[in-house]
Amino acid sequence: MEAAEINTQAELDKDVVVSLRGLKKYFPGPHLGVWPWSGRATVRAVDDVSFDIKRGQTLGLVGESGCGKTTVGRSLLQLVRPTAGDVYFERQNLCQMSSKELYPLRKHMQIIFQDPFASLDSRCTIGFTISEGLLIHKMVQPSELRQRVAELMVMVGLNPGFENRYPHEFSGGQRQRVGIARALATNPTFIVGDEPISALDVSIQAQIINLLRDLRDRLHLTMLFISHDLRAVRYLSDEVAVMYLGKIAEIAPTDSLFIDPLHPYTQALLGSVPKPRWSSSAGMAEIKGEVPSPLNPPSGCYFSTRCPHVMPRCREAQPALVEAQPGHKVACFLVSDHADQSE
Amino acid sequence: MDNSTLAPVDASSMWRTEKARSFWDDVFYHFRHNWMGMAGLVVFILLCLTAIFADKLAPYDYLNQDWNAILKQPSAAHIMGTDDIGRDVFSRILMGGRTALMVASCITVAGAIIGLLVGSFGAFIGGKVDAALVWVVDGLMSFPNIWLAAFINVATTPTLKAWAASLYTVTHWGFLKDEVLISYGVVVFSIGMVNWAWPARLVRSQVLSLREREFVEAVRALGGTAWWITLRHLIPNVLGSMIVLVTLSFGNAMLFESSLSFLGIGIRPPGASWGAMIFQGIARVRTHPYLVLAPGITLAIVMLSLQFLGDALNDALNPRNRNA
Amino acid sequence: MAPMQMDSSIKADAPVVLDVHDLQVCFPTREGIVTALDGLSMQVSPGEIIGLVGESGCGKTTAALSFMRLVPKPGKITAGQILIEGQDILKLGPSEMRTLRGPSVAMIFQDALTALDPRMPVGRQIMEPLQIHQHLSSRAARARAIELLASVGIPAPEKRFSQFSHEFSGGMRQRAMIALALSCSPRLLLADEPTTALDVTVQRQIMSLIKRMRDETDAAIILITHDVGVVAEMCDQVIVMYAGSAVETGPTRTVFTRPTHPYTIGLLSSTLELTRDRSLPLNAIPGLPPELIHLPSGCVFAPRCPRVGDACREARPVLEPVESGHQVSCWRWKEG
Repeated sequence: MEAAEINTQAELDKDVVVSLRGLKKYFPGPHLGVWPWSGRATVRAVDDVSFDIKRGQTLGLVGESGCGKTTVGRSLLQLVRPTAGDVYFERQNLCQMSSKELYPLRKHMQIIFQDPFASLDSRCTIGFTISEGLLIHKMVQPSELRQRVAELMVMVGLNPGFENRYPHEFSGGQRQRVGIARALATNPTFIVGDEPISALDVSIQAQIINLLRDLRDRLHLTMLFISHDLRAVRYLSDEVAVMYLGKIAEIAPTDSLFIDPLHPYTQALLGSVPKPRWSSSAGMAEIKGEVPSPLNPPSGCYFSTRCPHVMPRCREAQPALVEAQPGHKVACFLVSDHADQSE
Repeated sequence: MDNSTLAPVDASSMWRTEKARSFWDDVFYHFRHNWMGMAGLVVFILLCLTAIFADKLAPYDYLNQDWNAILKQPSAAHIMGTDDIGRDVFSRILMGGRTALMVASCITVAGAIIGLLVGSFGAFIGGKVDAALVWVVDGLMSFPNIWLAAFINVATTPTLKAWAASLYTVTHWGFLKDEVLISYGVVVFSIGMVNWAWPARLVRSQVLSLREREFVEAVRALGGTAWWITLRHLIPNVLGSMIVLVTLSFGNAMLFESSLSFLGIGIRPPGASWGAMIFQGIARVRTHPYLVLAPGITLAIVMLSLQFLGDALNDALNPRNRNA
Repeated sequence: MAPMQMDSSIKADAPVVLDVHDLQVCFPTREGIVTALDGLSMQVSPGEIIGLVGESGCGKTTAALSFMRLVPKPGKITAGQILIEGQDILKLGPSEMRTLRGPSVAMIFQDALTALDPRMPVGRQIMEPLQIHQHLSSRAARARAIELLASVGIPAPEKRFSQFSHEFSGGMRQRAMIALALSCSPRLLLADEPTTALDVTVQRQIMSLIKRMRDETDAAIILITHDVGVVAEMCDQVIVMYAGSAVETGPTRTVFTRPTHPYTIGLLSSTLELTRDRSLPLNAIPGLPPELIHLPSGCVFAPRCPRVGDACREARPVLEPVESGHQVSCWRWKEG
């Protein structure tokens, strides 16, 4: 039985900027047979995801390939329309709005992409790219446009004299700053960062993380930070959600998750982080196998095929997300049984 | 506080110091270094100049019939000889250049604009609209071009002539009575009706792939409408290949027009068209080969130069996943 | 230049597999000559894992390619000496070099999907070097290929033999590539970012696999990566590279616990350690990696260095010993 919490709009907390309820996104997969009527397999990229993000907080979304975290980000912003479920932004249900109704809302919710080169139009100057949101929503007088762009460029650490240059004249880290400036131009309340540092060099990653932290604090942004790198997520997030094959395995405040990971998958992820050979915790056992194909998820708990603590029960039913400790939810029979017993 | 990211940074220590170089600067640079393309460009410019100044450059009026100089071999007086009614071949070649340029320009521009609109519209909207347009374009392309153009030409000439005549009675514009001009118009119309299919196809495939690119998604996330994206992002990105397309298509249009004229359907005499000149000279090719060689070789040289030009532009514009 | 001291766990009299002296690789471009690698020296013994760590443009991949003489044109090896098992490979002709690739030195690439031929079954690709170098019959080669697939942990190897690379998952492709590289039992294995494109849990599996292969075959391994953590876990020795030069070398534990070069210090302190206090901002190295066309005269790190002095801008520093086996290339390392 799913522990879905049905909230009506009236019940939604004013302090919650983004609220996902039962979000599902299924894609049509390969054909099952030769004939058109054999139907197609379904890829359940996102399979019933729910969480809240409070004002000023950052939720980190981690997982490996195929877990659906990127799709969650895109579906949240309605860049990809969800198959089912509700997305509340400032208590308005985005899923029930038409594209036309969404246009004016877009200035309040923005996204930073992973690939700093592909996400910028190589034929446009970066000045234009940064100002595009302002132009689309007509937020600023033409005479003040350059001033605003210069302010944004300084804010992200770019020399404002470079507004007439093209993306290919900049390095990856600088282009990512352009992407950040573009996202901030319309004064959004909420930003989705879709692996914003993954494509960058290590020393530049640190710069960008510092930048994002600082901007978030100064501008009181609410963020969803998507990454496959647990270490990066730890630096930017107040809460972390771990996803596996389209479902949330564990969600908890950052310190709680890193100090006391409850789900075996989270433990495996943390254990996979390379440790120096001279440190005492070196030599953690690896988990076997790879992430199953989303076309053919295992029956029962999705992690059962690789879990070192698998029980027969795990193969029969899917565990629900249960609050094992205050604020710390896990979808695992091992944990929920244990929590039941200790009551 | 960590100063590295927030303070305005010192230009000299961090940024590239070479002067700004736009995409187009890069394109010109590569193009300049391609000698074949430059040669093609030179010939093309020559063609344009002779076309514009044809009547001043020509030693004789191209329509002038000198009955004393019929079918003369090339000599000092007529450097490319004369044809069967005494007209100077060289002068007709020059005027033929003007015809070729005018007709090909109209056809190419019309084809490109229609193709651009149809192609980008269909590709971006997608769905049934796109499917229907693809069906139309494919259907059009499966007919042999010349056959179809010839058919349209022959079928519509009387109607268009009638319209021109009736329009003349209303407006009294002199050119509406000029047979040669009307034949020009019919040629443009018939080839244009057939010629837009390939540009549409090309634009469509470009827009389809562009649609999936991340920067398009980024503009959607900013709140850009389909129209904004098409105008500001899709079309500029397609322009690169459009330029190549237009260049190659120009040569194609020229050849097309020559073919129709060669078949006797295109530019009617006494209009000067290289294809028509070849048509008229074929019967005497053994005794007076210059009647065919002069227009034929000229046409070939111009076509070749346009090919070189188009290829060089293609190389210069498609570089590449430069700096990715 | 003094050779690096070997780790004491390696046999002291074992012959060195790879011996490089002052290697220089240049690329002529239309804007000038890019020196991708400027004077690299290193030795690797059997069973040793050396990490070449640095960011993009530091020259680590160029170094690996030059060890196999596969530097893409127009790049050229312009100076230096590379000895593989005592043989100077820069003096070899193309066909002699080809006989070396496979049995003496092999490479694992970063992206297995593009490194494997998509149109040939994976098993057949593993058979190829066996047939070329070891002259095995196709039956023997096939059997050995299946053995290799099993040894790298691919389940149902007979079935997987005839499958194509796109039918393999990411981790399995990487394992197949390792099997391919190890097929002729090379003495030197070059691994170019072998785990970067993989999921984190699979990375761990591949790292264990590489270590196991090293234990079984005693091959010398050069691990190229930008991930300092991977180096800390896997490598006996490390060479930290920046803009084509080695800035600090030595046993991994020494270099990482007592770093002396400002770049190494900056790199280590900006890595996203799990143990660091997450409320403090990271100590990011300011500025950008330099462009190899416009390298400054003097120390390449000078524009970004917190300790920069006049001497640093004038002349390029050379590697000096700090302690046994640990060398650094910095004029001011003592002022730590």
